[in-house]
Amino acid sequence: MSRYFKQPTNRLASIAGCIFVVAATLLSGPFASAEVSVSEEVLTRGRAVTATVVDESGAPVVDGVVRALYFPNSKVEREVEVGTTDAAGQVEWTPSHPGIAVLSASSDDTSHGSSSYSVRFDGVPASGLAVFVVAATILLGGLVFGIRRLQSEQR
Amino acid sequence: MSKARQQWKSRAGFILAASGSAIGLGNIVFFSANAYKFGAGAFYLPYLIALLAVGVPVMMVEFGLGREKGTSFPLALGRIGGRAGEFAGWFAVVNALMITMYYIAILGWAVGMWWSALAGDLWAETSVAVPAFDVPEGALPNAIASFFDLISSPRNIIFVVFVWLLNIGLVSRGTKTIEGAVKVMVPMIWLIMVGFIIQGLSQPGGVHGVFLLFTPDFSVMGDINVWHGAFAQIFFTLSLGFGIMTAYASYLPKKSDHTTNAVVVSMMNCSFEMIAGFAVFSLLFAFTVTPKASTLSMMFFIMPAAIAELGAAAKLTGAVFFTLLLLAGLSSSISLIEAAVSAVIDKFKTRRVTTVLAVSLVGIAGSVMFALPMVIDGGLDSNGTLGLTILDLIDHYAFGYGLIIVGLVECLIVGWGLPVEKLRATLNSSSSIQLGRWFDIMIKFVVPAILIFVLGYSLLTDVFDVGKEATPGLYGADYVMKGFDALDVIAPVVWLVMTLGIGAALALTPGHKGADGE
Repeated sequence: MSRYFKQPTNRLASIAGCIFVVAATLLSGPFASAEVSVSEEVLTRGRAVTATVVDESGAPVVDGVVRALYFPNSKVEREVEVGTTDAAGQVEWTPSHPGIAVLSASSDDTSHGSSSYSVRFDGVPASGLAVFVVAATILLGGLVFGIRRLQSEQR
Repeated sequence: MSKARQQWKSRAGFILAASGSAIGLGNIVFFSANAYKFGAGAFYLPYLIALLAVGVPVMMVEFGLGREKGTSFPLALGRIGGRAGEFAGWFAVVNALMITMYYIAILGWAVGMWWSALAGDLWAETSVAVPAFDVPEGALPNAIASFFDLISSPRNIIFVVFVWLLNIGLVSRGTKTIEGAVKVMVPMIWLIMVGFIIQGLSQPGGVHGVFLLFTPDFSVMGDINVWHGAFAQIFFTLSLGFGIMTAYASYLPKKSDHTTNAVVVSMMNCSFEMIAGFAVFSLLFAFTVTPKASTLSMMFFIMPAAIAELGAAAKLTGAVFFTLLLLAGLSSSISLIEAAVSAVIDKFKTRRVTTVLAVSLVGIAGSVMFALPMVIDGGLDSNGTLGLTILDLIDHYAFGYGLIIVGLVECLIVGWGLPVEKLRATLNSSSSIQLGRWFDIMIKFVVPAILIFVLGYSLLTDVFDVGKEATPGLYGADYVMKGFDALDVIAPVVWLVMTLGIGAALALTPGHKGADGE
């Protein structure tokens, strides 16, 4: 049956409190007009791209600090400073973790917006494959085992 | 002369009904988002341990209880633990009925969102205005605007009543109608999910979403919240502590193999949860939408945001997604209602139709309360509507405490009162899988110890703010509720009074005690 709102620790999230968080998350994603952009459409862990920061008038933001937030909304969320923009408003970013990453820029306490990106794995992750094999073996294997038992009993 | 107890027509019907009960809204969207929150693949380790150490053994107890006593949960516990046992059983039934009330309110919202998906509001270029919250057109993302427009309007009550009418029809003739319904609904749920998996994986980069879901970050393994989350999750996902599984098992012949049944139902539920993650994460990753460990947010905001990116396919996909939610929710809600109906019939020997209508009338009143469109927070700083606030607060106690308390008490009553050795012998007598003495140790010591840990940690978090990340105070103390400041205190008091009070009244009211196999 499972849960409705928060995680079981605190029970499902108070819809309330999370409404704006969700709204903000969504707005910072595909709904926001990004002021932080990257040079490639497809991002992959370990492959450098150029991030460009422009202000509302479209002018490059110089000396803006660019940060990358990996695994947002999770217990393993971590923020990394990417660097400072040059005269063209650009900085090189090499995504260090796969998954959803939020790239944000600020300077002198002024936010220059943020954009979300999907960072792909640079190959099939061995640890992920191992976890999948173990989980699938126990769950699907257990299911098949049980059904076969029931079938043999019926016969 | 008493009528013979109704029975499932086939074992497949029972398996589908029990797995349909377990597979609900949370399986589709919550589990994978919860796993993402707790270190993705790393969460599978405590989750699988919890499944094997708590989930499967407790399900065997609940099935075994139904088989051994041949009656519903309160009377089954009462015949072992006397009045105290029966009281625990009624506490479970009343707690489950309170959950049913808001669960069906949520299903009503799913129907409302299904309507919005078909009408096109969810995929329009400009989101709808939400007058009750002073939100102008285009100010919020489509899904959020549509949802708040729905719940701040009286029309959501119509959808809630509509879902109740569906439920009444499906439980009206007991196992006959339930079995007929689940034989259609459960396969459909699986088929639709397979369709979503194919669609998700066929999106550019979709497979990387699945990589993300399974790749572990073991740095979280030392965090007590992860373990607490896993053990709580397994209890909820398997529909344990509601009295459902005992009621359903009591409709099977005595010779049924409940050990294997428990393995099949548990694994079917958890396998579904796992593959649902494929569909959810491939879509979210492909369209760069951040998951959140909240079922309502995932159902009504986050998944629609991802589906909206499908362009021309969004309308149909969205409608199918909300149909999936409705089917999964219905297969669970009918089991919740049946648990209450069967308990009342077994004790008071009332007619089924009368009992279904009586339970449903109480349920409808409760669901309408949870769906109240009364706006108490125009700024959307908190819950938005009174009903949503009450829903969240009651859910916190009914799910977070109620189910675990029932699980703990039933293990103690069965483990020490029956005792469990007798239950094990009964289960072994009709199963090809023989349970060893380890099962006795699990039910008598291990599972109660784990559940005491889960309860204790929840209590420490709520009362003493241990590990709390948000504002200190009782759960919900930081909500902004105009004119209803004390709801964070009132809600747990109401929950306690209702469950303990009505539970005690039902236990003390004279009635039929039931006989083995009746």
